[in-house]
Amino acid sequence: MNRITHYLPLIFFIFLIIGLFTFLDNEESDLRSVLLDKNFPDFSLSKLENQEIVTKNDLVELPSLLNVWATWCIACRVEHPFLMRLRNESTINIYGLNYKDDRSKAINLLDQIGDPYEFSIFDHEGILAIDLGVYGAPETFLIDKSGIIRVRHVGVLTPEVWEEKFNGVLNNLKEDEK
Amino acid sequence: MIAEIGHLLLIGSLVVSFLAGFSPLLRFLTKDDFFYEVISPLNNLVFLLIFLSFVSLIYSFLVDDFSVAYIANNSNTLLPFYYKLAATWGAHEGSLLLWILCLCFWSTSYFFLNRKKDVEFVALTLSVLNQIIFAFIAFTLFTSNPFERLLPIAPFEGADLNPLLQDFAFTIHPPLLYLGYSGLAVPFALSLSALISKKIDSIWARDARLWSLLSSGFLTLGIVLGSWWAYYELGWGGWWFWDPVENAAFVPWLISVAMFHSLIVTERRGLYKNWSILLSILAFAASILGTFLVRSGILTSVHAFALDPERGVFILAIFAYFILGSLIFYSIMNNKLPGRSTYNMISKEFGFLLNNILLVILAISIMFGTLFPLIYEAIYDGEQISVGAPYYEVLILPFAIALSFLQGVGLYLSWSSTREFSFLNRVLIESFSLFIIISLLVFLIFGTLNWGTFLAIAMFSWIFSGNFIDMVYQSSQVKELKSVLLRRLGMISAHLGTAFLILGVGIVTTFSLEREVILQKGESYQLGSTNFVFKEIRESKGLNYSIQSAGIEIRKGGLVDEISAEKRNYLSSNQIMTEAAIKPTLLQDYYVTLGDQVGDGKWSFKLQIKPFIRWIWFGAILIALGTFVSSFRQTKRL
Amino acid sequence: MHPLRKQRLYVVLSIVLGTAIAALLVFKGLSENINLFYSPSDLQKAQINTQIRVGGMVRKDSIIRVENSLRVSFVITDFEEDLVVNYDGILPDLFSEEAGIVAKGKINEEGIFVANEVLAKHDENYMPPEVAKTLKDKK
Repeated sequence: MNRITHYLPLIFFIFLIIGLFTFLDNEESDLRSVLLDKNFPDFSLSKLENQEIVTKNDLVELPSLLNVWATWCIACRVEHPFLMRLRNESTINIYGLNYKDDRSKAINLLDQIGDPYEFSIFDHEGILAIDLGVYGAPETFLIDKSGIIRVRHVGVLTPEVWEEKFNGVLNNLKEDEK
Repeated sequence: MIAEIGHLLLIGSLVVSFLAGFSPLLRFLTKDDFFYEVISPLNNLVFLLIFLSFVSLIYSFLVDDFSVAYIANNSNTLLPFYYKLAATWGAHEGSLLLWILCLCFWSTSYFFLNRKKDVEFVALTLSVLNQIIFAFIAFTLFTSNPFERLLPIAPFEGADLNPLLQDFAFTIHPPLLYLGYSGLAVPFALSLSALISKKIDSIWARDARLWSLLSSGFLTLGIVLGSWWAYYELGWGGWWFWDPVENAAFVPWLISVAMFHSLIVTERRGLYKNWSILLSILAFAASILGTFLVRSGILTSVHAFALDPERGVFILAIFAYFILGSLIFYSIMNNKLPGRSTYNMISKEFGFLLNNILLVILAISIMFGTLFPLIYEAIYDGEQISVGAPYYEVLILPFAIALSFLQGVGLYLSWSSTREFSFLNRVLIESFSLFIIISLLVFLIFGTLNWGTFLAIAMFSWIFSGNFIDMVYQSSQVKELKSVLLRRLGMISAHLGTAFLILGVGIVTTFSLEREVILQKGESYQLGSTNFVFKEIRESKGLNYSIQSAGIEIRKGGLVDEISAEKRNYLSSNQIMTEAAIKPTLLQDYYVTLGDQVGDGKWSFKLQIKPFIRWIWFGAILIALGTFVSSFRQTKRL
Repeated sequence: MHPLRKQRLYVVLSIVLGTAIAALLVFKGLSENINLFYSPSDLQKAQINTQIRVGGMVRKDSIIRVENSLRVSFVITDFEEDLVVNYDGILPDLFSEEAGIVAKGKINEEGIFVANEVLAKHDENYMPPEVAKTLKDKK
């Protein structure tokens, strides 16, 4: 009798931990699985730089990255140099999604630190962001030639993340084309 | 530059704490006592390294080093220096470093107070503590590094410290709370030490009781500050919301109270060793679980740190290692107690046992309510719910009644078997008289009574008579009992604190008044027996915000006071915050919040009267004081 | 009965009693106090005249205040459906257009949500997770 009661707390906590783990796991896969291998959503928003309206059809330079950024996002500044490098070495085209930001502040920032984007979509209300399942900034998506989302990364885009998550897929896509 | 040093120091402490944590393994393999003796100096080195690392983070804040991402995210050149200091622990990464610093403080204090003791025991305890320190440093370094850089281009200006946090109470709230949370690691480590070295005795119990009293006291203070802060800062007049983050502190607190009570029995009678050990593991588990809930992003809350399921996994792994590990030791090391003494149902032993049971069941039920939304979401595929406050309010009432009853009679129960029952008569008569007096007073002040208030007054009277009146009566009868009073000062203070707390809660819940109104300049509104007059609107500037403030006169018969309710616009983030105007008096708080401009010269206001609300925090502070007094007495006996 | 047995009996009885009472309170409390959360498009599932929570983003230019009173109405959306919310009281600081909010109250017969509490939390760039999740799930 005593032995069993001795083991009860242990058993209880094992179950508790398994439960919490499972829940965390669901959260993580939820975050990741949204929209993968699905079409990039339709939208109709203005460019950051001017009032010109752009839609999904204007994303022509594919495959390409879509990078979610904002002036209030400090972590975005961490990945910025790498984005500039990607652009300068013509590795891949990058479209920007300026998320819930102030237009003039955003334009000023790009003037100040450099603009790695083909152009940026001005998503002041976060409409396209919601459709993409974006939680915040920075986030980066890889869109293939047919406009399908292949990779989604939440957080700073570092050279390591590029190598591990994006580059391999990009190469496969180029292979498939041949 | 300094930030680099801070980073290196953190890495250094990772290594040293690892060595200190796992040195007993080497002792086990080599049988060389050196590996026990080396743990203390290693431990102290860890404290030094962490302390210096923390100092370098503070320094970087004070000099506006925005090349550090954490600082850029949480500070601003316009921020007053004392808030730059506070910003160090204002968000997730820095607050972790503070948590670790607190734990190091405890482990080094433990070392200093136990220098001449059993080498093996001290070594084992310190090594467990250092394993915990190591785990948290690893978590910080690998997932939440406060020293991460923003290179090559550092921003000229930072974001800002969240205006909600730019406040004195909220500044000292984390350090106090973390001292409480991390402090629970010490009784935990002591238990493991005792289990492994098979020294579960009254010396261990006495030690464990000291550290559980200290942690409990700090938790009390931390929780009180949080409640008081929420009251005046959030602008709704509420002081407890059963928010997951609040519950995450309340649950370990309940268990810590059970723990130091249980340890009394273990120390004096050698009983409840299993209970005491289990409680120490449970308390620490609740502490880490709380950390997990608040930082993994799985629960919504007013002030969850948010973020990352990935971080959640790490904390869960830490949780699993320590809790499952300790429970395995507990289950395996079956301690055959040398003959069990029996006790009567009407005895101190049984009283303490009931106390244990009630507190633990209450704690688990609260935790269950907090976790229930997760369970529901998992079962019903994504459907989100929240558990409303009434669940907790209904739940806690019977427990409060039962615990109050025990608190009133506990002092008079004897060990083994109580034969003298005259105390019951005395306590009943005294508490009944007190009950009548207070009920009359409350009726005079507020004009009505209901059964909820009766209950609160009854509990107050019962505890007050049991702990104070009757004690005084007894000490006046027999000379030595005066010293008994002194010896029990901590306990009396803490129990009286509970009484005041219960009274405050009962009255403020029943007799609060509130009304949202629109007032023209010069207009007044009568709430209860108080007149609120809207005098004027003024505009001004603070250090990093602009202000619109409304002057309100409070009249009750004559003028009570004039207070200002403000709306602040924080310049850098363009956030609006309301600063409530509060006029505290002995019997009630007058509470006014400024709403919006509704028309020309017309503004909306929320007017509230909160009777006896300060008594809640007064009671809680008495509890904390009592806890510290008791622990101080304990240190003298070491 | 052997004193030790008697003692064990009391201990077990207390634990069982305490747990039973707690369990009762827990079940009763939970069943009465679970507040279900709905986004505007989920609302056909909700019962009218029951206390529920709704959440969404406040539509730009939808906030209408009644002159000289605290009554306000606004529209929240999950980009699929809209919901009109009526509230009589002072709105929290962080309430504004395009903010994610959660409101507690009831749906009336006309399909308008009558809120008795409006919550807006954190900074302007943070959306309450429940709202973000349901908005995301719409896709």
